[in-house]
Amino acid sequence: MNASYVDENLIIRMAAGDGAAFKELYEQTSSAVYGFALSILKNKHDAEDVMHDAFIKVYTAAVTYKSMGKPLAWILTIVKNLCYSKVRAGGVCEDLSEYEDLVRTDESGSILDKVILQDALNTLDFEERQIVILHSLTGMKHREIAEILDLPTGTVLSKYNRSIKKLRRELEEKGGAQ
Amino acid sequence: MTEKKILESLNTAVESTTPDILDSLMAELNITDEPKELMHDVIVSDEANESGPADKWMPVTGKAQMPWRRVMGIAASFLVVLAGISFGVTERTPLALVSLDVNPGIEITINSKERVIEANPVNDEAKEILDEMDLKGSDIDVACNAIVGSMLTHGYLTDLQNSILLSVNADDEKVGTDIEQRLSRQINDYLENTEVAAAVLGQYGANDEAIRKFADENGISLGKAWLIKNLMKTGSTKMTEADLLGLKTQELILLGQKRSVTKTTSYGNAESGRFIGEAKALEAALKKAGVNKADAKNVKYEYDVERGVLIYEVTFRAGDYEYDYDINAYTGEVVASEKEYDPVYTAPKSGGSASSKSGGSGGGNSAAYRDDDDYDDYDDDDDDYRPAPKQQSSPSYDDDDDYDDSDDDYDDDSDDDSDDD
Repeated sequence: MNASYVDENLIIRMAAGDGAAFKELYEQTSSAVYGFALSILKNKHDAEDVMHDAFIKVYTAAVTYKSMGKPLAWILTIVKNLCYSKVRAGGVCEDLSEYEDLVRTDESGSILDKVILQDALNTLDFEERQIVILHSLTGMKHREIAEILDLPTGTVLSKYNRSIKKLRRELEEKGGAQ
Repeated sequence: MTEKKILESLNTAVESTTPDILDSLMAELNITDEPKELMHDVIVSDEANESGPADKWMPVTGKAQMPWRRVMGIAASFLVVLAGISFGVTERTPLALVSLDVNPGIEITINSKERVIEANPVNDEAKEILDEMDLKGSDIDVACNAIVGSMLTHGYLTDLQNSILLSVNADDEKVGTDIEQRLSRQINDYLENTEVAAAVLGQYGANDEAIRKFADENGISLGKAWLIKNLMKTGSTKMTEADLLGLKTQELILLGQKRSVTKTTSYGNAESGRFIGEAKALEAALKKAGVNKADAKNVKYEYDVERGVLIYEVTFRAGDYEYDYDINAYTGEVVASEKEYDPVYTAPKSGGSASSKSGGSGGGNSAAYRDDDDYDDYDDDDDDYRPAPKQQSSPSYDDDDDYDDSDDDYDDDSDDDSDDD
């Protein structure tokens, strides 16, 4: 769980048309990009659409990237904006059955992991989901997450803690979870 | 279940369900994952197969002289390559300003990856040079090579006008000096393989508002402005800023080499056949003084400017007199002279070297005085020079400091019992 550090050099190389840099960047960040989109949109297909658009945008906009030492924040802001415009355009169907599928259809990984993801998407509110997913996938600090989400750091912290408690409680109730 | 376990589970769950769309993205963007080696490959395959390992600063083939036409070919291939590839520049924070002056003056701003953000002509001649190439985004080493190549093909670099001033201005002296030394060396290596016996003066300077203003007001590059300011600090009682502004770039470079301006790297000799040379200057002075060459002791040369004209200031002793002549560096005309009675004379320990120096005569320039102690300081630093490896910054990421710092402040309600297994 460590996409927090993304080499800025990759973006600079991409700007010069370096495909290998794009591949490396994709490998480092694809889960964070997809997970973040999923946490906003709660829909696999929409998240995948946004993931696609986001990487195209990241590649084509690399020339406009201004070095501030925060390449991941830049990428995730692109993801956020794409998600929001998708929501605004009304193209999102929040289909709960979609992530029920996560457990059923995906053979890889443990069931427990997926149950937790499902719980996170079901139980948590809009902002809580984003905070928990971003933190778990990128290891970003609350302060950095706050910047991306345009929220006060204190809010992010308290929402994060509340989310973890909610998830714990949810798992308790399900019993089986250790 | 611990917080950390929850986070790890979420991470694993998302990672295992993230769709793999890399191939379709790359197909859509029409890119491959072959590392892009910029233009080096092109150059290597074009010209350098027979000259050993690839170096982006081609051609470097030891002492062998390259046929002129081949050099032109290489210069031309740079232009073609540069014209063919359009680079993007992402990082627009300037790291340094590199200026190249021959007569055309060009200022190049580079970013921390040492790629060109922009290249601007300082004068009309430079426009002609830059018109042909789009340097944006290219590596500064490649850009310098292309520019020098173009100056050669346009006839701005010749045996008579043989000097290049390379200046690097950066806030960080270490960074600036490293770039300056590397580029100076590379330009020199490049020119050594041409038929032009060229000279390179590399110089580092900080970013200085006042000097920037001075450059802009006078329509010269920042590098040239720095050289003028530095020359003014070399202790001449004759030269003025106005004098120096009136000089050709080559003359400034010659003064820079001979007057030991600080923080410079120097290759070759800017004293081309355009100037009469020290031996002829001495001859003119001796003739005027009516002194035999054999009687002149402790001969010294200084390069200076007298009323806007580059001069050799020749000083020597003969008998009880000290002579001081200013000789026009182009015509040999005596511009000023001084003879002083100074009987307290102790023979210099190394008097022999002075006379052997003047005895060398003949060629007039270069070799006759290259090994004189006075000038040693400008060519002694190239033996152990190695370009510093480019730094890959890799800040380490500490990934868990936030995971367990929270519970204390955000205690609340109901969860005391939920922490068990």
